[in-house]
Amino acid sequence: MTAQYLSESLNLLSDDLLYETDRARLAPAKKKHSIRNWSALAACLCILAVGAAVVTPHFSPTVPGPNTDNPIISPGEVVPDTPGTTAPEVEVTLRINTLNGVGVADMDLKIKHYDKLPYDVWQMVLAEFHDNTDIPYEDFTTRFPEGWQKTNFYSHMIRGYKDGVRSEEYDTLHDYVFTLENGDGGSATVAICPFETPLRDCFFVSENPKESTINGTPLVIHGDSGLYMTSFFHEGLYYDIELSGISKSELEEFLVALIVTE
Amino acid sequence: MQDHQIVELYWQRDEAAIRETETKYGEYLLHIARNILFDHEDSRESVNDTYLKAWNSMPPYRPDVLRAFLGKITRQLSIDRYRTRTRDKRGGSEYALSLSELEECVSGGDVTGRVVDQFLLAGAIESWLRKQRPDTRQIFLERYYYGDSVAEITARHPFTPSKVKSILHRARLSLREALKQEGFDL
Repeated sequence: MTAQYLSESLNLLSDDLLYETDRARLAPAKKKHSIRNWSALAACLCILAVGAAVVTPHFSPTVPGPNTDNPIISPGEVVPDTPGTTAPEVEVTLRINTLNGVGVADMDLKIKHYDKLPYDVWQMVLAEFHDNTDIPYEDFTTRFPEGWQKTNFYSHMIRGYKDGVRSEEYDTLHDYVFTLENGDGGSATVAICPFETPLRDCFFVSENPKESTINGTPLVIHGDSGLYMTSFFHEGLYYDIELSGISKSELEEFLVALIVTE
Repeated sequence: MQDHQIVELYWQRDEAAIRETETKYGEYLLHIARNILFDHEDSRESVNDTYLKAWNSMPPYRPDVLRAFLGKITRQLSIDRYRTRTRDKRGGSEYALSLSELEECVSGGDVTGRVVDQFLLAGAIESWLRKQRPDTRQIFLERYYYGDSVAEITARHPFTPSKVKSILHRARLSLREALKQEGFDL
């Protein structure tokens, strides 16, 4: 173990410990070599130790429920090929498939939130995100196009298997999920999974869906009238994305921002 | 402005959040960075990177102690920047001196640095810290977390510089013993 490693681990100490020390650092300097002043300092430190802040999370986000409001799109003609409208160096061909039907699937999972965590645990979450996806959390979130703000971040947890026996606990991470809004009525849910398609509580029925491509990455897009769903595999991650309240050009802009990262 | 109000500005994506953060904590963060980097320009960059990281973290994160949250970001960014500097540019900072002191606690052997192991180590250090007298705990953190000089620490406590050095020396030995008992490979 190196001194550097030891020093860096201090960054994972609880906030209340640092708060106590900070308070003492900000206090006026104490006089020296006076028993009375030393006693006063000890009394102050005791008060600081007793009054040290206890972390009390107060944010209660809206718990996202299963996605039950997907409208069933009436069967219709497949929307003709739409040439990309992005910059010429990006090759985009969008083909929006109209849905013939939507089937409902049962999802056995629990949602794990990340908004009430102490800083050191949050750092652990970020480290695990990097380990699982091979992308730093910050790098991934900067891919969201300008104008879109994250409103929530959580995981889908499932019951994993050990030695062929299914766990009783929802202790295996399946997907990371981001929800975003563009401030203009548009909303997006981006789910990613490193080993298979993210879990979804409904599946789309369409015969021979046409494929879109963005810089060579194939994807299948369903939807119409401002509501779009797509799933694809790109750079080691499976994506499942749902967007609503946006135009086709905004859809293209969103997908290009996620896929074209150079 | 109160911390919770500043955090709310971040959540509302109001750029006033950055201005308010700089007004309230700019000097504090710069002090942390300078203690590690010793160079004003590098320190300024670390602090600016802190604002960006804070902007990208909130939402979804909502820290309860904003000062500690920001301080940790600046500290880590500064340490990362320190690590990439050449050996020649590292010297001179209090952080470099404090690292050389911390070498008393460890063997200096290489470590793969798994994130989970570092969390376990932090937990053990925290457990040890909470058992220490308040002045020992604070002096230890002032020196090895904030990188304050012995002179700065002495100015805040009713001790002589020799006493502060003695407290730090005993703390390092005690920490080393505690980590060995916890089974850490020093």
